[in-house]
Amino acid sequence: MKYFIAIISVVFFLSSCSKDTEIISNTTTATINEYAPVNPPGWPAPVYNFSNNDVTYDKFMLGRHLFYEPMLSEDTTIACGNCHQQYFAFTNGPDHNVSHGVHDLLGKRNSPALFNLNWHTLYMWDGAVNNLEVQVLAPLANPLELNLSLSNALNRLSKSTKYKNLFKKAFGDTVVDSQRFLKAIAQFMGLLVSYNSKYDKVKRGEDNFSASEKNGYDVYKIQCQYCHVEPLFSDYSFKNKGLPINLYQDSGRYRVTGNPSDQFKFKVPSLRNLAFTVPYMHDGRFVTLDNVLTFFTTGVANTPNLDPFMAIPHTVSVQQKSDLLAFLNTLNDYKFVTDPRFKEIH
Amino acid sequence: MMNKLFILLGIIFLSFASCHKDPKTNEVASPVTDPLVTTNEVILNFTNVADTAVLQIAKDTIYTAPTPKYINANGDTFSVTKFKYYVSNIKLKRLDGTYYTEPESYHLLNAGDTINYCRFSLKKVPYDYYVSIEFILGVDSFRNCDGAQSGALDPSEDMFWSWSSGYIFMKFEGYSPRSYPSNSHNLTFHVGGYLTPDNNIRTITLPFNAPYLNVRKENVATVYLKTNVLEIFRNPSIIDFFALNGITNPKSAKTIVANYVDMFSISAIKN
Ligand code: HEC
Ligand code: HEC
Repeated sequence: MKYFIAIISVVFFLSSCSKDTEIISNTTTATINEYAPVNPPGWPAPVYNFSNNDVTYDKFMLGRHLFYEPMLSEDTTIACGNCHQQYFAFTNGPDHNVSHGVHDLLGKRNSPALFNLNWHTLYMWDGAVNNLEVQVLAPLANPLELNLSLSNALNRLSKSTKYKNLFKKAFGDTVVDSQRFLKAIAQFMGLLVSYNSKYDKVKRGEDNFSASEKNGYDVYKIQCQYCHVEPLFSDYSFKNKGLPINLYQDSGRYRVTGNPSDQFKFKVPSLRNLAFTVPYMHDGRFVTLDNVLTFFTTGVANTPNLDPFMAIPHTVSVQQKSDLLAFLNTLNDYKFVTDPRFKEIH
Repeated sequence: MMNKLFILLGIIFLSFASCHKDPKTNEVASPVTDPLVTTNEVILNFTNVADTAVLQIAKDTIYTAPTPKYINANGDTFSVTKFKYYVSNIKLKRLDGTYYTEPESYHLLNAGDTINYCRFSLKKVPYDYYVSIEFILGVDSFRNCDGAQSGALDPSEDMFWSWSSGYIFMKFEGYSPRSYPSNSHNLTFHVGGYLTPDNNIRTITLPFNAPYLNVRKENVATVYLKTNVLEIFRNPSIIDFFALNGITNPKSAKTIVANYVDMFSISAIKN
């Protein structure tokens, strides 16, 4: 006769995804290595710091090829780069308010801009993705986006001579596995750092704001900085800004956590590169910054979990508005959207 | 049921986990006498069962097919088409309270696997007596958010959620006539979740009977464990497949998690 004593320790982990905040030394990239991770002076330490993913030219190039590879979609028609186009700061461009995927199926959300991703704590409008390296799994699995299983994707790549060569260059042999695949794309995305706007140059002492831009900076500090925090122009937190609920009834972060206190909260996007990222918001509902500011002063809806800052009335005079727009214009990084390192490649 | 007595003690404690690797482990090297050979392997052999029957994975995709069928505590018949789960962070406890800790300890057990049969070995276990085994049913929180993984944690194993990043700790799929016809009588139980307040990571501790597990030079010991799928659906909550035939997010997994923590038992140890 046997006695089994099973002790079940139920462990409630208070867990979080806070990553190591080790600071990586700043590299003056241009002269040393164009393909080294960038951490501009004065910026906080990145959350994704390539700690298990040493950046090399060949891995980056593999990632770049993969980013523009239509073979990664079910019907081989679209690549990441279709919904994330460089000239639009890696958004879908002005023609699309929500994304278009395989078989021209429409998604429910606007393709966000891809830059300074290493500083995000979570990805997607609702924070569904917890690490830059696993981001790719989401569009692959999404029937409205790439709609291809990871094993099928790897299978296709391992049959291609081009990718055999690229994997060999990057990793020393032709083995195509998920880890290599995911880490290579993460290298491409992780090097998409936008830090050469006029604002950055002013901060570096290489340029000066005009009087209007300077006034606009002050308006920004009063009206926008609470969420769109410098120098990234976002704290990447989740907030309900008070947009009227859209026709998809998109509940934002609530979809992921199921917590009622997350209803209608979306990730605060950066205010950098707004000249390229039209249309705006998670569903692309606004086509001009004017629309955005009109919403801000007169359109805020009192939906559940409205941020307290938005619950108070905001007034922006005509002069302040034009100054603010002048300031926002200093956040556009033309070098980034034309950088040859990130161009489409086949 | 043989004359076995299960005493289940639930020890609930709060611990602070995060995506940081925990620098503190209880691992203490055992006293080394012979510097050349002081370790041996230990085989862990999991047998998936439905009480007394060895679990068979049905290949058919509809319930009406003549597949092996089981009956849950509610009296609902069902078949099983998929049963996979993670066993990770395995530790063996010595008489003196110190532990052997398996390095890089991640195992994906698949009841449909006809190659390895849910059998694997712990390497380099120091000679000693071990009184219990501990492991996480699932994947620790750090590896849930540590980016692209390989081996058992490779996302192409189809045990990773992309709609909300994180590992699926257990996947149970099957059919029951009691599940909705509109749902093609499917059963889909996917348990995962590593974030408060829906943290479904559980540590399982199974004591060994005297004379315990004895790791020694002469023989590779085997620990025979059983994983009983019927436990997922009874105790403390009897699951009616009409009322609950699918969970696919951490928030709604509570009942199943409370049930499935006692699906493991030790059936024998061969020293
Ligand atoms: C069909 C269009 C489409 C395709 C193809 C696509 N994406 Fe996206 N991408 C989106 C949309 C829409 C979102 C926002 C989804 C959400 O928040 O739910 C997004 C979000 C992202 C984000 C998160 C950005 C942030 O600010 O959090 C990254 C990174 C990203 N995509 C990279 C990729 C990569 C890499 C690929 C190729 C493997 C890819 N995308 C393919 C439309 C697309
Ligand atoms: C309470 C926090 C908060 C404040 C204050 C705030 N925003 Fe936002 N902003 C957000 C959030 C959250 C979003 C995303 C909303 C969504 O898509 O649902 C956003 C989106 C935007 C977008 C769209 C960006 C894109 O890429 O789609 C612009 C432009 C913008 N805000 C400008 C401003 C300006 C200008 C101010 C100051 C006048 C401001 N915001 C003040 C939280 C805030």
